[in-house]
Amino acid sequence: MESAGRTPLLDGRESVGELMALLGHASLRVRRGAVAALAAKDPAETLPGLLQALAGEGNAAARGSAGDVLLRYGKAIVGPLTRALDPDQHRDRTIQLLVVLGRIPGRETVEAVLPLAAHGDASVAAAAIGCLGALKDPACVPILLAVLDSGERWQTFYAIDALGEVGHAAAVKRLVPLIRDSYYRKAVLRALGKIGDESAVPPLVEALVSGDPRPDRTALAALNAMVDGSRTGAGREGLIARMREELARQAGEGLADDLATLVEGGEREVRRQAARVLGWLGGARAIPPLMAALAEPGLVETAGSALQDLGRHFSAEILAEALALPLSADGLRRVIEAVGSNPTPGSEEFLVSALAHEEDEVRQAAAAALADRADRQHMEVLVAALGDDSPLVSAEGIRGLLRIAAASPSARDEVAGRVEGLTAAASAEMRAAALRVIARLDSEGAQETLDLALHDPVATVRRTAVALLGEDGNPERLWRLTVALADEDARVREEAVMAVGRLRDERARGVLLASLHDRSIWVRCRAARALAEHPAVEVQAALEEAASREVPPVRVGAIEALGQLWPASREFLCGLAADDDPEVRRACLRALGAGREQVPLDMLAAALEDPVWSVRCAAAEGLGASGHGGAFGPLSRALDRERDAVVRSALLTALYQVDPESSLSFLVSALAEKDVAETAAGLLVDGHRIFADDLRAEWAAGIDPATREGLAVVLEEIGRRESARGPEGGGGSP
Amino acid sequence: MSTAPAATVGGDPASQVRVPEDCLRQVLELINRRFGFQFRDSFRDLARGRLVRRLVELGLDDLQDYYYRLLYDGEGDSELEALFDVLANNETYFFREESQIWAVAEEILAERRAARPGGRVRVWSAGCSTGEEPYSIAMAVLERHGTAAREVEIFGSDQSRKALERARQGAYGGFSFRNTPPAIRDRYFRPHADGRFQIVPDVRRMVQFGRCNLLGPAGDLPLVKFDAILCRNVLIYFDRDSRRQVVDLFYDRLAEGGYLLLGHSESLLDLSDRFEFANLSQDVAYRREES
Repeated sequence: MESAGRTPLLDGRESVGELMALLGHASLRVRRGAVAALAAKDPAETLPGLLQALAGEGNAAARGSAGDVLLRYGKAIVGPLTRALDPDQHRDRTIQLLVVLGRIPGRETVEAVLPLAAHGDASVAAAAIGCLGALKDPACVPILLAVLDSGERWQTFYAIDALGEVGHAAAVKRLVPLIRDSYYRKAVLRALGKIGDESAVPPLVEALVSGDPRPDRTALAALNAMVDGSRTGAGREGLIARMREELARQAGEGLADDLATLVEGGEREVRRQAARVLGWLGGARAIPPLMAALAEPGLVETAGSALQDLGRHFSAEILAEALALPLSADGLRRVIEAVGSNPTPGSEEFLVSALAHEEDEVRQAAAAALADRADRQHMEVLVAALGDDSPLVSAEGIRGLLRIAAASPSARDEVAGRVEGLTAAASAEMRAAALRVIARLDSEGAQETLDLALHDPVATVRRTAVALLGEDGNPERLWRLTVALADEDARVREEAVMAVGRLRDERARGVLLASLHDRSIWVRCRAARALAEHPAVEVQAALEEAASREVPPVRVGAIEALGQLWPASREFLCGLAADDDPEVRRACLRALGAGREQVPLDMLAAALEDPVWSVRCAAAEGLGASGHGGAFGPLSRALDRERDAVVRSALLTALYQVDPESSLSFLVSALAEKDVAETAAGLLVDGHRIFADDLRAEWAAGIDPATREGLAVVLEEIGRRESARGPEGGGGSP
Repeated sequence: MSTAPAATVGGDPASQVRVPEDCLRQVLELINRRFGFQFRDSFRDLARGRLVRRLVELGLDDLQDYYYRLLYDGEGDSELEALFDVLANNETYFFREESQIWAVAEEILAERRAARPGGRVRVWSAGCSTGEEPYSIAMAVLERHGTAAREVEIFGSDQSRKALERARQGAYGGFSFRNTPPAIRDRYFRPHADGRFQIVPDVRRMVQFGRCNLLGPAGDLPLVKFDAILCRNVLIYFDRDSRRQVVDLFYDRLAEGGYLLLGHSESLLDLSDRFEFANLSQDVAYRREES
């Protein structure tokens, strides 16, 4: 290995020629430096040298580095690169260029490369086909399908691969017959998996069960790839349902054993894939290997999901295996979730013992399962759960007891009687939980119990009592809550301020204004927010004062409240929209957006270019909340340039909010973007009464496969909603 | 930041916690700025679940509020550390993926001793959480080499102060022994009255613990070269750049010919080409080449 001392170091003063010479240097670090330096120069100056390096013989590193520089230039040099495609004069350079162009998508690239797919030189044609696949443009599909008919095995092989990369459903029918050709079989199965269209499920399952050895590993990977590549949760569910159906139809004897053997040993990824398919296949044979997989960190997620479904029919078998394995907390939790709802013999003891487990997530799952059973016999274990250190376990104990109490008046009395005594328990967690049960049961004397708890020595209990007292907004509670505002513990005072804020009482305003001067910033923050519900001139003045001079979180709370005192607060909020603190800007933009008619559009639109992503997000939310048609232009332009997925999601939502009809094309395009597809699908379903006809027209017109998959899910959901609405709704499945 | 159980009065408190996507990202960005760790995208769902649990423990129901408390509360800094512990919590147990533990105690130890006769063999358990891994190595070494085990130095590091405190205490509940042969547990632990088990002094003194951020300053990491580094099921949380940086650190801290052992589901693919693949009798590892 080369030492740093012998490595030529770049100082930024190298000429283009010197940098070109370093493209093939033995050190990766030097090559990377040369690539970065060349990419910073004018392409007109470097292009001839790079094209020459791209075709250079002998030094693969130099060719790779030259390609890296071209990629960094990207779309800016597509024109010169496509013009440099000259397979007859510069065959090698053209082949290398096709590799580079495959990573610079765009219509110009596609049009330049398409004719080369049928070039007489097999290597040039293969490179062009590979390039078209990498470009993933549906316009390539007809040419690629034509290659399948060419009879050229080499090119056909590349075309199969490219069709998989493009991922267009139209290719499925043409690819399926090629599965029978052993030369193409693996390539076709891989391509079908990548395309991910539901119509490929039956042939893939057939390939899975007919493989030799069985199950066919490539088909196994392809079935998994289909699910992994699905862009929406509903799309995944649809695919899995189809796979279950086909597996049930085609599996025959022995497939479960074969899959189980794969799960039990072998390469981890294959084990994961086999575990998944085994879960879809189901049956008792699946339990032992899936349980063994549950004990391994890398497989717990897959095995746990598979067992979740199997638990309905095989809970006793799952339980028997679980007791013999060193399961992780996560593994145990998944077993409990799988068997918890079935009163199998032994499951009760299992759940009760799990309530004493060291890990709180295991205890929570066990308490939840027992709560779901709502069996009076479990009352004592649920009572014990009330005192658990973890509030999540305790909450399940409360839920279980309330479910038992709901069964009959006698059960209610029994629970009330049992819990009443717990308000004097030694454990503060137990006392707090008992208060919650008592308040929910609304037993006689509940009020007095809560009053007494306001003086409990432990703040947690006092805080719980305050929360329960303030829950219903009853103005008669003001006095008690005011006492809590003087509590020594800031969290109790916070809870009291929130409770006072909910009271429908004029006197609450004064109490909250006084709390704006509490010594805790969090109490002041809560007070500011709560004042939004108690508008008055003096409230606005106090909030403006807090928004200007306070510490940041109180400023933010005051701004949020001022947003609800619109339009009186408009001018003041506009003055804060350029504040130095991004959190203040963010709160301000959201508040301004709530202003509807008088919203300062220009100010919000300008913030779509804020350097801080969360501020841009807030600007989008603000514009969306404004519902102002004038916001559509700035929002759509921002969507064009924005690369951040969270902000893009906010922009799509805002476009839909301000003009649902015009947002259609943006939402449909976004179905193909993995990071925002769920948002787009949700909005399209939400607006189905406006969109349904247009979406069906889009479907009929033919669209790229990524969009098609998302659209299928959307149309299916729309169909369900329309069916639920009544006969006039019509069907929606594509 | 003071903690208090949820004031939620009914229903599942976790389901009532508001976790806006932008706030989740802001919180993870805070972690990144403070600790250098960039969690991988697939970790986001797990992080969301763990954050919700943390919020419920603190009695909060809105991630936005929590974010502001992390930013502006006087105790926000220590809460950020506590949160990091929660997010990067690496559940472990004694003799987890035990073939690697025995490989260190048997093959690697023998080979490194032969390479440097008379020298001490040093093992680093990076991201050791509550100490089960370095103690497992110590027990395995004692099992195989008896008193000669004194020539072995084991260093366990973690970012979490809380985890290291528990590791130094050396007291464990029954769940940590779910893959430990009872004979080994009985030999190296003494039962506590509270049902836990205390590690014996012979094992305890073989292991030193120290705080170390794998992506930050060296912290308590000794200025020595190690003969073996174990970093199992830690890198899975981080994005590729963070993983690369950590693997570079391991390379620098390994003696020539030293071994790097990752979790069974982890590899150096796309992370480094500076290690060679080493086949052990029952496992595989990476090895820093000898010059």
